Amino acid sequence: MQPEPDADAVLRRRAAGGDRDAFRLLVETHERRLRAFLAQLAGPDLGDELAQETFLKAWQSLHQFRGDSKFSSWLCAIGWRLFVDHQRRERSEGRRREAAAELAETVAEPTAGERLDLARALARLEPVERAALVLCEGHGRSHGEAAAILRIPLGTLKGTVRRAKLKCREHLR
Amino acid sequence: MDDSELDLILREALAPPERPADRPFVVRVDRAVAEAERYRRWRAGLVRQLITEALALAAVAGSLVFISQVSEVSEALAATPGLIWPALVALFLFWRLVRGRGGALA
Repeated sequence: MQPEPDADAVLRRRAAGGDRDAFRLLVETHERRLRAFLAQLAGPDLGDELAQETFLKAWQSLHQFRGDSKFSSWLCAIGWRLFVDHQRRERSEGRRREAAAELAETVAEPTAGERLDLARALARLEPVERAALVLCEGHGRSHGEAAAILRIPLGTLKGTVRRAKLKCREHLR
Repeated sequence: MDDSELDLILREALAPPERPADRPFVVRVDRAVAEAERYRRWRAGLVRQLITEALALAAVAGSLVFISQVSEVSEALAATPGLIWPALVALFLFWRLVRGRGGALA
């Protein structure tokens, strides 16, 4: 994984020392991508809740971050774990179906029939497939970065992305 | 639909939106962080207080055991067994008084 950019490292070190202004700047810098990632997984409302929880968790564990990856990757990894924990708690099939339906409505603005179809295709993917696709295709992360964020082996990640694309293509055909 | 076409569609649909930082969200996170910090400090203070009080109680108990082993005291206690309870209650009330005053000062 790539090390974090210098600006992040400086702010992160200040924040780890208790500087809340520095942490606020980190939130300002990273909220857009983190919330977009989590909204694709959980829908906009729950995605925002999870993003807030992610930042809180990050603040509480800043001293554990060694800086050997990008700060944004570390945040995404925390967000992903929170999402997985949330899913584990909400095992009820009905609630999952509701969430999928909400996601299908909100993942993409239905400006064209193709986009709506894509939103439906994405909503049908397994969460890990959707997450892998969002990270690699939407956010331009390398396969290595995405694998580290999702805590799966690189080979598994590549297979997951391939499978997700295949499912999308089949749905869009 | 070929690979490059699908990649393009996915990239467009899944890319994070281009927009400036969402100030209300940043403020909300900042408030949550401030609240978490207040709670952390309160909890640390509570743990410190509990440890201090446990140590104080242990010290008092140790002192009482030590004093009760002095031969004159143990003889006096053996002669008047009813004395031990009023003495313990008095000590307890004294501790409550000191604790209450400490709490009021804090």
